[in-house]
Amino acid sequence: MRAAWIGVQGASQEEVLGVLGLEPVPDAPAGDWFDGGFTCRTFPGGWFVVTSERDLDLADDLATAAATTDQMAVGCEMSTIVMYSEAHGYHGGELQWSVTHDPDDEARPLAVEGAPPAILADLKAKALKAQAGEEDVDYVFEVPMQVVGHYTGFVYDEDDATDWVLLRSAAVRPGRRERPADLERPNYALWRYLLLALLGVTLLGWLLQTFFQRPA
Amino acid sequence: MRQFQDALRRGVGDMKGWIAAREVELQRGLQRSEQALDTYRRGVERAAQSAQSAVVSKTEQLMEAGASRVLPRPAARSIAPPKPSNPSTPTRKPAPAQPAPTAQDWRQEATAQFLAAARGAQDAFTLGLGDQAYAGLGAVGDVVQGDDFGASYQNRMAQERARDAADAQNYAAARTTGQVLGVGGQVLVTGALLGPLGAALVPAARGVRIAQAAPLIFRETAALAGAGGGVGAIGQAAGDISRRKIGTPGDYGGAVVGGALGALAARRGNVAQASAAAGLTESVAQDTLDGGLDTQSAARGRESAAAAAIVGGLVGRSATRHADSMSRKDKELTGEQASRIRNFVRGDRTGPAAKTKEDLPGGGYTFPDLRSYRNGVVSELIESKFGRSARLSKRQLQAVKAFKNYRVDHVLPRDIGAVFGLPASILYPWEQGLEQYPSRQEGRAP
Repeated sequence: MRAAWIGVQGASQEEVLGVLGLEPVPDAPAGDWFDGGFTCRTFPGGWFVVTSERDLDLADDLATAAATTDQMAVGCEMSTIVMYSEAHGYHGGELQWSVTHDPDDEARPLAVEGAPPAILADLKAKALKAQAGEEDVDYVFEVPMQVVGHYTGFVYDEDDATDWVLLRSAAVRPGRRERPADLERPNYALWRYLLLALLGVTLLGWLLQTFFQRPA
Repeated sequence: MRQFQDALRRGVGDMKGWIAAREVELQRGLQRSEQALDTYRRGVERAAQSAQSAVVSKTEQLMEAGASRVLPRPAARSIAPPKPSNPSTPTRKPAPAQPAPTAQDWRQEATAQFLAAARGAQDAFTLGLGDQAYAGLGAVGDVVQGDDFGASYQNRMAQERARDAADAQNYAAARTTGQVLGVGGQVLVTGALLGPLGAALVPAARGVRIAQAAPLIFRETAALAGAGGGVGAIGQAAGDISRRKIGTPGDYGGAVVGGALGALAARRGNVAQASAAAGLTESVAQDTLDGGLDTQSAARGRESAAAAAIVGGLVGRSATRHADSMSRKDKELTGEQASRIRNFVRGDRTGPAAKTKEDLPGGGYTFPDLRSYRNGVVSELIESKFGRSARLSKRQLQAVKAFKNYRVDHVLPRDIGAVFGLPASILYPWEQGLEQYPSRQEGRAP
């Protein structure tokens, strides 16, 4: 699965949704966090969380949402298909830290930049201890989500709340860039390239064989 | 006193006579010794000449005998390659009767044997591509001087092949020895590059499939073999079109068998090895179906395997690197698409992509990427994975243990490499380079 979520502390829901270009779906029943394209919910501590399976752009949307508060804003994106995860933390609209897990980066299972929260050291130590000698499960993958969950209280694979509000894109998106439509479609450019390369190599061989045949 | 003096004179005279007699005898002895020594020296020289002639003669007999095991004894030797008036029809000059071998002849002979062996090693090691490269470079030089590239290339190739043919006729043993050494080197280098060492050099080709990944069922195995066989048949048809000659049923049968076996071998992850298996199997199967194996079948199979390994390995490794460097989004889509293809092959329908959670015993839940349906009922919960280092999450491992119908599909970048590399090795007309042991369609080797 793929998912991303943003948590903003101390900002009004309307303001956050406004800059993200989102609005509640009228008359839609409340549900689970994964029930729609976008959902939102308020958590204790003044945290307001917006989730999406694939339509939140963490790079742009988190910075935009973070600008609505002088307190903290955190965001997370993950994919269980490639087992990639990342989290970022803002304070007063400024990026404070980033934590990234790229499974193909064997040298740095957890890349940390900036001044991460103190809880990260404990979470990382626990994950690396569990990971030692473990080939089947990627425990470090969970750390970025755990850091964000530490602040917002939202745990993506344990949350049982059913009062999430279904959102939709608003007609006007003042603070949010339009996502190119082709981002939602599979990008087959690589496959076309590989297929063309295969056909090209084969065609080249045939041409060589045809025009430079060995003498009889 | 006078008597004493007379006696003394006689004694002196006797002594002089005795001494003179001894001197004569000594001179005669020296003369005899010199004559004996001279006779002995001449005898030794005659013996040495005789032994040398015997050794040379015996060696030549042995070499001729060795050559005759490979090819019929040539009527005459011609060390230099013939210079045919028409490059496409090389002819052999009749050689004059051989004079008695001298030391200089022997050195020339040894040099010619060595060069023939070196050319044989080069041909075997490069699968004949060395000749093509040499001719191509020479043709480029000719183009600079105003000649036509195609004609120059063909002329030079004809000269190279004529020289190879002359080597095969006149220095069969040396050329065969060189080819054996060339094959040995080829096997060592190819094996090192395309085996574990090659994989170590390409990080994208690393990675181990998740232990919990679902193995192929019979339908998938059959479909994989069928796809490989289909590509083999297409490759044979393409070759027929290129050669303007229709292959025999045996050719097509061998191509199908080779492609099928290569596809099954590709599942192990080394596309170069799979391509080699496909090339070897196709060659041997075609020979078997086209009238039985002959003395050149093994060599032909070996060349086919090596050429296929090189083409498949290079294309496969390139595709592997590209797959490994795809964007995260493309990897996700590729992983899910592979699961959809598996569903189709398994005879199931892929359900809607909307996420629904699956509660896990002990708390928490997981979101399968896809669901497959059979007869309207959920058949399997599918977790798609892509990447050389992708593993299960904690919840997914719980799901593997909790649900019997939880299926993990794991696509590695090297799988994508195999998808492109193996067909490339089958479709690419690498027989162009196989000059030593061309396929039966190409005609027998001289």
